[in-house]
Amino acid sequence: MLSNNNRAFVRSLSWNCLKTSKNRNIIAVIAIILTTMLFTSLATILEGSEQTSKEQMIRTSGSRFMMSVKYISQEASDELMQDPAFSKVGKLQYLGSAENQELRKIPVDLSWANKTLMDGFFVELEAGRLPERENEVLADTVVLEMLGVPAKTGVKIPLCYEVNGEHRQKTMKVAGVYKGEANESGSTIYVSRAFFDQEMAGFSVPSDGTAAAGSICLYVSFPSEKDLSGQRRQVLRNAGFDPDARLDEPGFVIANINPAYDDGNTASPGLMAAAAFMALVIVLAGYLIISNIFRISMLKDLRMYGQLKTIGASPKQLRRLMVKQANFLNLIGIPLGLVLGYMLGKGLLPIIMRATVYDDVREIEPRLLVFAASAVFSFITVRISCRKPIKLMARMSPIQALRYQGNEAGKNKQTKGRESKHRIFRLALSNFTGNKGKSFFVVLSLSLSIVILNSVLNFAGCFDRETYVRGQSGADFVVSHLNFGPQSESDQNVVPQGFLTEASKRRDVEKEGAVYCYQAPDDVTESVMSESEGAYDGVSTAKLQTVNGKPYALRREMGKMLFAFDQEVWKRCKVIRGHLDMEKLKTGKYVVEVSEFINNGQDYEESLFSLEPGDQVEAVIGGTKLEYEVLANVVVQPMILFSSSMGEGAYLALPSEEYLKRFPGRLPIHYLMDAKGDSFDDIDAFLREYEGKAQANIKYTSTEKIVRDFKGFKGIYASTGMILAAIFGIIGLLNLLNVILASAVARQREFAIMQSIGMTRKQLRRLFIIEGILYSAVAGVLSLALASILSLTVVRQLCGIEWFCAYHFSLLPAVILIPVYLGVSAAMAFVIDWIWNNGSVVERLRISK
Amino acid sequence: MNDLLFYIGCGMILCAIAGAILLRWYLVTYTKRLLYCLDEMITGKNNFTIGEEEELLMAKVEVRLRQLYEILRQEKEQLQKDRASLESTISDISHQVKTPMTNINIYQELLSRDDLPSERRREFLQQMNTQVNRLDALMESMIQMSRLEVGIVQVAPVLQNVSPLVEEAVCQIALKAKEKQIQIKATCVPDLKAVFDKKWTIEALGNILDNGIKYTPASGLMTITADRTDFFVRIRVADTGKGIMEAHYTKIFKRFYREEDVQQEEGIGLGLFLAQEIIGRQNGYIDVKSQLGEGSVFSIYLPAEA
Amino acid sequence: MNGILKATDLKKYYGTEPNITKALDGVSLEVEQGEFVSIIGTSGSGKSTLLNMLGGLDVPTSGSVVIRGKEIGAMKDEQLCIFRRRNIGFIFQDYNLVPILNAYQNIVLPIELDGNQVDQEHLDKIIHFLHLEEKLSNLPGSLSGGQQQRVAIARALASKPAIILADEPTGNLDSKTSQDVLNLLKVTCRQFHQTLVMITHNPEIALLADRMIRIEDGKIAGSEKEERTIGGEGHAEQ
Repeated sequence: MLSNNNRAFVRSLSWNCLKTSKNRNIIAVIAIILTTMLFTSLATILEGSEQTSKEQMIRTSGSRFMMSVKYISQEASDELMQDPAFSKVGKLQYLGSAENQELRKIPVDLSWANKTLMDGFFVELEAGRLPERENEVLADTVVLEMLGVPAKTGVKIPLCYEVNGEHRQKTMKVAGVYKGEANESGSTIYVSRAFFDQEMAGFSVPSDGTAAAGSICLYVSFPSEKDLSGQRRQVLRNAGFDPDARLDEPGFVIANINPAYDDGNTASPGLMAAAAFMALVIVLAGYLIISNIFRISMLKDLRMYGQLKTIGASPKQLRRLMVKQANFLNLIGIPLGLVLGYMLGKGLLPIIMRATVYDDVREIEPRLLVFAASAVFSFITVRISCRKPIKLMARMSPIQALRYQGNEAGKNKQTKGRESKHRIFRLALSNFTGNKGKSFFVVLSLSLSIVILNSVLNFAGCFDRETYVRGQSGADFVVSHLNFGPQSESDQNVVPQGFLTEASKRRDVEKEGAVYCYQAPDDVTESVMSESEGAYDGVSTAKLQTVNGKPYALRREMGKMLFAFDQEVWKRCKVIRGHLDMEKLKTGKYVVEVSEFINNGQDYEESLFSLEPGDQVEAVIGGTKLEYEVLANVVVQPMILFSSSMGEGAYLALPSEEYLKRFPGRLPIHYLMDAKGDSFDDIDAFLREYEGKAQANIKYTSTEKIVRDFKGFKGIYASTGMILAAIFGIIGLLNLLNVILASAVARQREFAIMQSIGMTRKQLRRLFIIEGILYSAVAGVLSLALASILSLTVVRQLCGIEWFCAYHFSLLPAVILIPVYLGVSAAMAFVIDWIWNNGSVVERLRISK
Repeated sequence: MNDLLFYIGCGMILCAIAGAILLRWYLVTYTKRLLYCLDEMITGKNNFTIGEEEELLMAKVEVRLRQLYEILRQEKEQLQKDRASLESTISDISHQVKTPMTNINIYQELLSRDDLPSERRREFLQQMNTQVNRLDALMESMIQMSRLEVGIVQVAPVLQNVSPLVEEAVCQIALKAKEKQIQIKATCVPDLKAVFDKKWTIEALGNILDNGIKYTPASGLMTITADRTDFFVRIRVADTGKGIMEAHYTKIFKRFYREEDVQQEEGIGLGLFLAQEIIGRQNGYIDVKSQLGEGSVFSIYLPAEA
Repeated sequence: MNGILKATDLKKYYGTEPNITKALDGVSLEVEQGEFVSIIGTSGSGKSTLLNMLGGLDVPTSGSVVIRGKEIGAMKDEQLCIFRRRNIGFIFQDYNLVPILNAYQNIVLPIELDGNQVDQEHLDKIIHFLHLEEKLSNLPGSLSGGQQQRVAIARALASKPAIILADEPTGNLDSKTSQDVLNLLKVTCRQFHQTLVMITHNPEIALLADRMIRIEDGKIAGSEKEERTIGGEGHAEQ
């Protein structure tokens, strides 16, 4: 049926309501802003960190493209490039590799590529343009630096290169320069199409899937990141390939998905759970504060709603009236909260990200979903908070509503006390216990912040520096070659002689030792090329032939890597089995099987050892057949073997004397130094200076670096805890403010009466302050109890999980924070009393009643 | 694309049809309820159920309809009552007329006797004159009342000065007062204005003054004051008569009511009734306060403003 | 004849045995359309409770209130509110003006709540008569008791409800003004054929009504039909 036309009036009435309760509006809007802000900033930070980590992964992979299709024929390339399934297609054609002496350190390719590819490969022009003419090239700053020319356009470089085995040479002009990575493992010099075509004269594009001059690689992206493997299959099938074919099977093509886009790389479940918990806590906190404020204010207006009801406003109209007001407050609060929250999130993101492995923070784009979710959340919270007064009102008859004065009215006013102070305290207490629900809310929200702060700081305080450092480092300083890495195969990556000479001159080094690793180039070609399985085969150069006379074929790796340790390093090994007899070892007849600690120095993998002390082994090392007896099984810090643990294994280790006898003149891969006395800083300064030198080519890890990492790591926890505690503290204090204010408003008549019957101003103030303190005090007691429980359960549990934690019980943060709260609440009560109960104000309000 | 447009078009047409059907249904329901209301009214039912507690436009129409219906019905009833009242008044007056007529007849019969001594004759003539005067007063009242009751003459209140009203009313009774040597004091707040029909209100005030003079002993005092209260203009007429018992406050305004101990005074008991009637029709009212033996105060309240 | 308002055996008890308070203990009454009834009683006699029950503001412990053939106790809250705003005008002892609305807004509130057009002429007349012109934009807080009472009266009259329930409508006015206001109330009620039920403790004021119901200790102690005719209400004879 045609419904009544009385909606417009409710709108104007709600506008009136809003106009008259400005204070309420301000507090409510602040509450809404705060909640929205908390939510938005949290979401923004999560979103930003995910975006950043993803971007980092993409950057690490060197390509923004989602998939690569390599070594395909011209026809297949043309066909694929037309496929509408791709949003971006980058094309790269390999020509050859640069052979200049100066570029020996890293592989440098000569290729032609289209603009899309360069964009996707982070080729960011620093100067000039793409090569167009036949003699123009585009090179990166690192390559140019290696070539010893300035990174400027127009510079001429003599380029030696190789095309399908033909060695050529030509002087090229630099048309453009792009930014190179500091430690890049390879680079590309982009040539013009004209040059490419000219050099390809006489060769044709290989169509058999081999890598040769003219090979075409396509790098492609899809419009959506979802189900990349499915999309891969689809496009390959469309192009006539068999996506499941293996090498040498018909229809095979090398088509790989960029690991950065792999589905497995999304946020870890742990992080998600933490974020979900945070979100839940914030939702709860936001709900607490918004609902509390709304409930108090709505209840305050209940009398008025009762009046309206007697005149004939129907419950529906009243509901609309409240909802309208809430909507208006939302309209102001939510957008502001979104903007502020986004700004806060954006501001906090770099601080938080700095503490992670990703140092390069990306600009985060505002995400509609985040905003929408925050807005919806605040909106719903406000609506839910409105429901309670609405329900309450629906239950009451108009007359009851008219008589409603808020449930603040203290019942036991006649409490007798001998001493006046005592009586005031009782009054305050009776008010506190009089409305338990509200008091509970306030106390809970106050204690929440204390408990969180205490728990997080307690947890962070349990981080044990010694354990952490021990787990992360083998010595005070570990020096390696600049390019040393787990997969560095070149025997170039050893500690330079120059440094060793410098270092041995130093008097302030107490202990020093070298770690050697045998890597034979001849073996590399042999093993790597033939066996593509097993990433370490390239360096497993000690081929075990027999153990105790039987052929050795226990593991998939065909052999074992060969290390050699100085005496000082041996001392840092933990013997698992056997006895590490240095005298025996020195004889050169013994070998030790060494594995690395896992779990940051806490553990080792027993099953990795394949040999037992006393075993007789026969190995081929550097082409020589040698026989040794296994002396012991030991474990060392991964730092000493590789920089980080890259997959566990057990290796053979010789004393360095024996090693150097076999391979004279070889340099160590690591050089360990322990500082003498308090000379740590001197050595650190020396190393830092040396590291900075142009041709130094070293890098080092010091315990101080680790300590700094540790401190940063600890700092994140502490600062997260403090931010959380601050957020909840603000919420709690706002709630407290809210309650004190509400009680001041609701009881102004009562106070006026009490003052009229002889209560002094001073007594009233004391009543107020005691009341304020009471909340904090109860919250303090509650939080001490809760914090103790949490410390003994959750924190202890967490400490058990993290290897570098040493649990100890602490309530210090809580003990420090509680007096702060007491002070703040007292001050707040004082200010409210000062503003609200001032003589003239009371007069005025008494009249208005 | 064309398909899409076609489907959108179809959808919109369907919506429009559904809307039209719904609208028609609304209108039918609306009309049905309206007709129900009207039917009930035509039948003259007193209480018929309507959906007055619904938040609908229809409900508002129904409430208004019933209100109008009730007002009309009440007015009809009022009219019937008025008519009955007029009838009874006429019968009352006819009844009242009977006595003087009979008396006159008797006197006339007596006078027509030739053997009547001239002294008696004069006496009878005087008696007859009294009866004629009484008849005259009755007739006058009847005319006044019938005009009023039948509504031939409508009271037409307009905003005007109060002082002429007081002056003219006082002039009218000045002679009578002089005869009884009653002093009249009249004070009126200058520029005092009220909403009244002058001609009729003079009549009403006159009746009250008349009444006062009647019951005030010789050499008495009558005070007339006109002033303003919050919402009304008040004309107070205070006399130094014998006063009225509180229990009789309401009775004196009834037709043909006469205080028992003043039966000898001439009058028929219509003056105050008429005054009350006249003032009431102008949205004013009269009240009376009295102290036995000291006098009475009649107050006429006239609306101060429209 | 036309019992517009009918209460049957109304009871309102507070508390439980043995500490039971009987605010109303079996009150039955019937008010006819267009009638002016006053309910008189000392404070605490239950007269206010009775009035609240009659207007559906409070729920009786037992008994029923029927307005125009509708049992209001059977209505839902929502319906009752709408019913009330269309049929009943209240004048409360403590005015119950909405504090956030100014005098004018308060007066037109019942009209606007129902989405109706304000009958400006009628309203002007009431406002004028009650001398509220200059106070229209004042908030209730800045009005005196008498002024607030007049606003409350204006509010009850503005929407021309069929029934006006007044609880000590002149409690805050001096006796002269009280008379004026009540007569105004009467005059207006007659004009719009409204039924007026008024509560008072003042016998003088109660006498102005067509009928007076005396209530004592929650029970009707006596009802007297005053044969009074003030103004042209020429139906009170015989």
